[in-house]
Amino acid sequence: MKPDTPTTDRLKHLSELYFEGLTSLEEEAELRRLVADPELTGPEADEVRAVMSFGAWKPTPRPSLPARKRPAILRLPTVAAAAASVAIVATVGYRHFSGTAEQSDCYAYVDGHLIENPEKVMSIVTADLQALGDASETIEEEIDENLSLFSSAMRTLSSQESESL
Amino acid sequence: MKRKTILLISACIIALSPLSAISQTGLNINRIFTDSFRGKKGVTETVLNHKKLKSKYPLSLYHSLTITGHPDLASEIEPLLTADGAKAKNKEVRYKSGRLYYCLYCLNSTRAGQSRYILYLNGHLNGDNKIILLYLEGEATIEEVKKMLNK
Repeated sequence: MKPDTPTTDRLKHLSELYFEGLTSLEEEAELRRLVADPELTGPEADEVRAVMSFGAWKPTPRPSLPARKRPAILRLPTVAAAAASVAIVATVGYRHFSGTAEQSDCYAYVDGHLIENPEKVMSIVTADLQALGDASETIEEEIDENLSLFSSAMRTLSSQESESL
Repeated sequence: MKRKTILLISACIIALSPLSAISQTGLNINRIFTDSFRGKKGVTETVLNHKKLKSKYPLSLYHSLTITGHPDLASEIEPLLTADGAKAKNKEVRYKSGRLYYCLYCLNSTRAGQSRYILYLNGHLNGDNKIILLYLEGEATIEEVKKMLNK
């Protein structure tokens, strides 16, 4: 229990007068100022506040046991933001720090041996493209030849039809 | 709150986007560009990216596998090629003796707008001793790819 102070003594006196209907206008105004002070607690102050329509004011809290700690509930947006940040950092870090041969500009594995000499690699590329080019060219020539055979056959048929007519 | 949700979802997509930039993923031929093939004797795997290519070709990626002396591997490669070729928007295919001899597939572009091509040649069907599988990515049109082959 808090020791009485001049302020609380004054509050008690004025609240007694108030509830007996004996306060003057100045005393009632003083009482209102006193109960408006949040530092002033106690059952007398709460009772006056309740009567004076300080209904939103909370009563003096009773001493209670400490609240049990509740586990932090992580909100989904927070979790998603953290996951996105980790993913970005991990991706950037992996691409920056993974310095293997596969990350270099050009390389070739020949019978399991790594070749990084650009000229040798380009010579392999040229040879591959040449082989594919030869096959492609041969195919185009054959297509042209077949189409011209079709064309020739159609001309022959057409002229034979004209002769028969 | 709705705006925050959209921003978070965008951040997640951006974070995951590097994975989708690996455009050769999702293709059946990726099973050929693995250690089970490249580790064999007579196999050459070649990789070039944009820096080395741009001076000569309008490409950002050149990835090839050349297999010498293993005609039997063609039977493993053909079904994977056919599966990828089924989704091609342009194709040139030639068979010889019932086997896939040559193909040029133009696949759907990547999300970044890069064209993708698969080229294949089974030289064993023409007296040669080589199988070539080539994956290209870049800004080259199909005509430019053919010009590259015929240089």
